Amino acid sequence: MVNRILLNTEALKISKPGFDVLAASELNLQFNSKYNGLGIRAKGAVTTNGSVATVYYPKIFAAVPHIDIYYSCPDLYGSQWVASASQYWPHTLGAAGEWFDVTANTQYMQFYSQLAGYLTYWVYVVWSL
Amino acid sequence: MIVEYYPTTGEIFHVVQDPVPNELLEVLVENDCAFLSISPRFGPDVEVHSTDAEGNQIVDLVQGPHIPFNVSPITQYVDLEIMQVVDRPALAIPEKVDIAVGQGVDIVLPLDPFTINFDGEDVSVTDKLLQLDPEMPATYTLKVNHFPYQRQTLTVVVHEA
Repeated sequence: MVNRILLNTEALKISKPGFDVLAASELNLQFNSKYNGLGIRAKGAVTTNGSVATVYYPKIFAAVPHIDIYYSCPDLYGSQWVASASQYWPHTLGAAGEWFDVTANTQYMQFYSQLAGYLTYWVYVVWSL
Repeated sequence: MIVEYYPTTGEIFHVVQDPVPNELLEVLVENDCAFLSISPRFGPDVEVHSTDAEGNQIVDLVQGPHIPFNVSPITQYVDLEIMQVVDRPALAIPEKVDIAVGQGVDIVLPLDPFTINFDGEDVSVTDKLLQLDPEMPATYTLKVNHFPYQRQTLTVVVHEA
């Protein structure tokens, strides 16, 4: 049987069945602690009401993170999900002359809505920090 | 818990529940953000009884249970004089009014002027008096959003005379 588990100063690695962890490529690893999973780096709740709300991340990321938003506007949209990735910014929902905007960079997110709205956000990164 | 607010009004726009990363506090200070940092609160210490290997009774004091504390921008804001989260006052107006055509009704508002939203348009009400005197049977919705008062919707159902 080949070696499948390796713990050294670099990482903890587990290879796929039949692959020697000492020689396995990344594709043939089941787990590599060198890389983060889809870790949540920030989460919180924001109220928007006709002015821009700026929300800082706990740190400046190397790239714009992935952000999921659950936005609720009782006067206009009802409730809905807005699941977004970095390449989609800025993201706008529009209806009847009203709108909800989201922009994000590596340091902060900004939210704006014409009417009062409430959102919960989750910020993820998938790369190694 | 972190509570961010607009420094001119105290209106809360961002809440981060515990655990709060220490780095976030540093970032907020660096960017001159207006915020309150509210420490988690716990009940009184609790005695935990156990027995060691020699059969002696041991009593340890451990931290009491966490006391939940939630902040809602809908019902609360930051009082800028005492720098604490307090309740937004509720409007003493009814949620629903049933009247007939030709039967007017007056609703007293707490401030002059006071802004309400009717059919998507903001209307300024003066003299602290909102006078409703509908001419057609219908259901009307008035949205009252005047900070720091809590948002409220007033439904006016107008029947045939």
